[in-house]
Amino acid sequence: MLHPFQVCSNARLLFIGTNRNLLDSLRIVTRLYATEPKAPKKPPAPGAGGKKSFTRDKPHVNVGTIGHVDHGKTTLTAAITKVLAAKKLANIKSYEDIDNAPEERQRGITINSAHVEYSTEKRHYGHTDCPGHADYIKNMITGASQMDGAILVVAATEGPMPQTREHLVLARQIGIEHVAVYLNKVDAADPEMVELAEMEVREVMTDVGYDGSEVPVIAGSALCALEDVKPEIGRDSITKLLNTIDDYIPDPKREVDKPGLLPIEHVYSIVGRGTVVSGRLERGSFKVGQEIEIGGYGKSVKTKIGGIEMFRKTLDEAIAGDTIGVLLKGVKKDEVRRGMTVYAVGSVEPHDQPIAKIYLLKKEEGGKNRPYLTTHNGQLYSRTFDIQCQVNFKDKDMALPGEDVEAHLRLIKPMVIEKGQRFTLRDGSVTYGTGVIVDFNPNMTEKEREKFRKGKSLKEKEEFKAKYNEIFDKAVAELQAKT
Amino acid sequence: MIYQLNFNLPRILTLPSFNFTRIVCFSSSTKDSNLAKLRKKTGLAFVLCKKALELHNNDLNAAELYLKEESIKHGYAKIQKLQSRRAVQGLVGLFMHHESKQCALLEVNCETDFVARNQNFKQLVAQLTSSLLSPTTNKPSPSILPNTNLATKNVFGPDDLKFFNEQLSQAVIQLGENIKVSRGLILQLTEPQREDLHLFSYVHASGESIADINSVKLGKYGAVIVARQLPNEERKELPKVETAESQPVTKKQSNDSGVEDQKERKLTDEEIDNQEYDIEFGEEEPVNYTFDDVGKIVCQQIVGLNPTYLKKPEEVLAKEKELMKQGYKIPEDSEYLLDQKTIVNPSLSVAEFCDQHGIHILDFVRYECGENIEN
Repeated sequence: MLHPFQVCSNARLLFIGTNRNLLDSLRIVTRLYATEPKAPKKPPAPGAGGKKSFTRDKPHVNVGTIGHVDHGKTTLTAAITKVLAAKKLANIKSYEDIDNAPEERQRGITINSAHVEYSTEKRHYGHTDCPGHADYIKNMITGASQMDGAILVVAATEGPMPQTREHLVLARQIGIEHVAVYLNKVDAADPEMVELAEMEVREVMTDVGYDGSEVPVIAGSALCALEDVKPEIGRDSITKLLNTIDDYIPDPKREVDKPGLLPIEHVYSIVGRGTVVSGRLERGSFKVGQEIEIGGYGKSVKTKIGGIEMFRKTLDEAIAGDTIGVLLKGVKKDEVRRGMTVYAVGSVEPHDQPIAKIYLLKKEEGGKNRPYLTTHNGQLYSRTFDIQCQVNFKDKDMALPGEDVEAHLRLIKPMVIEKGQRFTLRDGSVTYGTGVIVDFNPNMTEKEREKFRKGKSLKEKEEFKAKYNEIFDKAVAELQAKT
Repeated sequence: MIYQLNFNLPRILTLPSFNFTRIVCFSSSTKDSNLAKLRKKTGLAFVLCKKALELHNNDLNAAELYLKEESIKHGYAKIQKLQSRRAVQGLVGLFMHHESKQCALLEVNCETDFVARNQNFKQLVAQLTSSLLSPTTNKPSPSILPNTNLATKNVFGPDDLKFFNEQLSQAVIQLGENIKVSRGLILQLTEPQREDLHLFSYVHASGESIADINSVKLGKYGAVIVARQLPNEERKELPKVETAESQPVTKKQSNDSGVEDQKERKLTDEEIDNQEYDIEFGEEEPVNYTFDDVGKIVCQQIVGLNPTYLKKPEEVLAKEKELMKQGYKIPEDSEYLLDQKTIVNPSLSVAEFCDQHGIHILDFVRYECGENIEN
């Protein structure tokens, strides 16, 4: 069926169109009708070919494969779906289905060369594979797909490659703490090779900073699993691998279990009751009477929650995701403003010198087509606040669009920010960068901050120039008068 | 072993004890087997090592010798096999030689940026780049720069670089990816004894710091300029043009601000936050670039803004003049280096910037990794 909205929008097209447009839109409408698949009269029984609805009965975890191009990452992914499909937990994806990236890669836009989903008895998995280091970093910074764990694929016939080190360094960089190893192609290797390969993998992992002796290593052959031969090294190894990642990679912490945090969107003062701030409770929960702190823009106020309201109804406890109004006890309206944050006492702190990873957008992505120099100024937008900041690149004079850089930021006022928080950088009306906070430098001392903020405003600079010119002119005039 | 430098000392120190615990876990026969030894020595795939040992009755030395020959052959075969795979990642190597009178640029491509970050690959590129300048290298005939006879260029195409294939085959067999040398260049001053002529260069790495191996700089972009330092009498007067232009404007503004100062009022918090600070430290100092700084800035400009030509030819200028008369606006995004705005000071064009600092640019080269590679 054609959705009513589509009809409306086409109707609008009809109204506003000139004669030629009218014809075009008519054509669109007819095409829409023509291509609309015939809808079955009854909603399909679940599983009978219609779209299944996603049921959220298992925790969701994101995993990814990393490893050398020829070591069988795609084959492994295909094998996983095949083995799980036998248990009705996944749809079979063939090698070609997963390896659909080449055209995208040719256009140079892909960031995910594969995104596959499957379930085990315990969990639901999203499975990613990126072509390169820069793609993973970009995904990490923009939050496109955050991996909770990874599977390192190594061919037992070849052993770890020199660049396996780079794969693991990357995994560390993007914060993956749990890596399981799949030694692939054991059908073509002898036991001695498998044992040596395992030893070398553990060695490299220890070098990079993982606990090499604790890392689970599973040997098998994804190809055998895919071709349904030698189940002892094929299918069984895949099952073992899945059981391992079920146990080894911990459940991601749910937002609800974290301490409460609410970025303020609006401040109201309600006569007879006091100040109310509203916004979406980003995580955790708030209870009436709970002690909270409100911080940002260099200020912080401690108080208690006097009441919580949602959709004009009072409630005792709000949980992550709720859009609520919070009555603040004994806080005046001008003490709080949009952009400040309400949080459980002691759970976060205001910072003004965060260290961040920034991805500079290319022109095609809406950024600018020019390089950025270190120590430039930008406007930082995050949650509900925006603030001016200075961006200092680490060990670099210059960064180009499409590049990721580590930068040390200085905000003109301390704001409530935390590790893992994402932000965008704007210059005028253009969003030129997006980033994620990775660490903090200690806050500036009063003296440093004064010096930093004293930086001349443009107006002062112009004044200085004008004054200088005046003196210069005077001197020239005097000189001329003398001669 | 170079990679260990990246890791802190305690980690290296704890390594041996860790290895010890592993030995306990694995059978010691495997750890000390000929296969393990051969793999450690050659770094080649297990299957190859195994085959070599089987052919030579488990004789380690004979197998190693065999592998040395075989790996080259195998490498060539692998190059053939992987040839068609797309390789657009990689590195640009830049080597300045003879006190900046001679310089080599080389682009080496691979498939993934994981390999481009690998130490083995970096060493390969560094080695190839510096060997480009060695006297035994077969160089294509040099071409003299079009508008001056002060420098020569040797441009290498992929076919002129075939002599690297032996080294490439070694790398291909170790790293298992399609690796190729796609272009190279030697830029040389014809009169190296002249004091006023210089080559300046800049290398830019994307997402990591610029590697420097045996003074070969490695990155994703590389730029070189040929520049002449103008003697003092040829230099143009310093920023007089600028002050004369900005004078009336700033004076007017200072009057305005004077009025504003009188009715100064208390700013609200929000206004203070949004006030445009031009954040800088300490007092503003007059920028004083050295000759080398100017050279580097121009090279950064080339890397960052990707100009195609040095300056507008006469006929284009004449055409533009005519168009301007008719009321057309000339677009700002310039592909001519000298017309671009400098990134350090957007109020100056590169030509003005160079005039101010007494430098004359004769030619430039820009390499961006993967820019010329079709699918």
